[in-house]
Amino acid sequence: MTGHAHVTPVRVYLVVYVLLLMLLVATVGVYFVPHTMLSPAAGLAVAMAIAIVKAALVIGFFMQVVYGTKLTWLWAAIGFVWLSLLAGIMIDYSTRHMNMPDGSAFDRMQTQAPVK
Amino acid sequence: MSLEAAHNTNIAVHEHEEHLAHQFMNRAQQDESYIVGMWSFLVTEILFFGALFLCYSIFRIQYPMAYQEGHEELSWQLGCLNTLILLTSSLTMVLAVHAAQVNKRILAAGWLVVTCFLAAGFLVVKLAFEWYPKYLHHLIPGVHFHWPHEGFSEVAPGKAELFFGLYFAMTGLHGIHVVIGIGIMGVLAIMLLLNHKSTQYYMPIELAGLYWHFVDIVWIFLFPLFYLIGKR
Repeated sequence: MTGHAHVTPVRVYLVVYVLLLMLLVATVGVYFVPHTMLSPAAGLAVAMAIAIVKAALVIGFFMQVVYGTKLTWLWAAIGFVWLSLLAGIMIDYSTRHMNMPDGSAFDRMQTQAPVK
Repeated sequence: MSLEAAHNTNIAVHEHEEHLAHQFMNRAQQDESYIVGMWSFLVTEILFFGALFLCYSIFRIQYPMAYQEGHEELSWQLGCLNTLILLTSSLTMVLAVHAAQVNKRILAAGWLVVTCFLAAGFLVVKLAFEWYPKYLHHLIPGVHFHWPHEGFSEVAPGKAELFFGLYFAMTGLHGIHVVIGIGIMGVLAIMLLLNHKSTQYYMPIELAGLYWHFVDIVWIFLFPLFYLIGKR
């Protein structure tokens, strides 16, 4: 076994770059969709979905994980285990009613951004 | 295979493979160790930024209006420009790695220099066109913070200050990573031009690339979370 690096053709990098630019245009485009058509929560979900696809393209092709060994795959995935733990903490925070520092009870449903 | 035979095999491999440290069997094993080492560092970086993203999310759930009004003080055009700059710098970085893989030393150095300039351009947009005007408008958290919408909106100044605190902390930490990236890529470019022994094999450039793409990914998430919160 010799250590020859996997050399990705430049064409692949250019295609990924064009896809990233298209996704950038898409995420800015979603920003201008009126709230009557897309609720703020749905807009956030779409923006995050686009960001995840962009990150996956960068990790997979620019960071060469697609061509990497199984151990590289494992390490690239470990960070997301941590992020999923954080997401668990988020679910806790977003579903409980908190007591605010000024003594009032905090109900997040009362302070939602008005949809205009 | 006896120990002695294994030892002799290793010596034979060493004689044939350049740029191989003595503790590795072959270059494939060495490459994997380097890449996994870099990824383990990047995992600690995910922990580092992840906590800030959690902080951002918790306060966004609590004070959605502060985020909504705060983000209107940011320019999505400048954020978009900076995203374009960073995505392009990721492309020039992979082109540098590619050039290093096919032993085009000067070309690799050239792409690293282009990447450095793009990174510097990002910082110019960030500092000169975003942070400095915010300093002039008293939007930096602290005793001089002034919320221009005070009295005209339901968002208390303290909550807006919280949004800007997160904005400066998260884009600031990201900016520090950009500065470090310029240093790493600049040093590698010089080493390539001098034909330094360490950059005769492409792995150092590959590892710098992993770091730089990570910095790009952080910005890919920061951009929609701060600049594209929602139109009203």
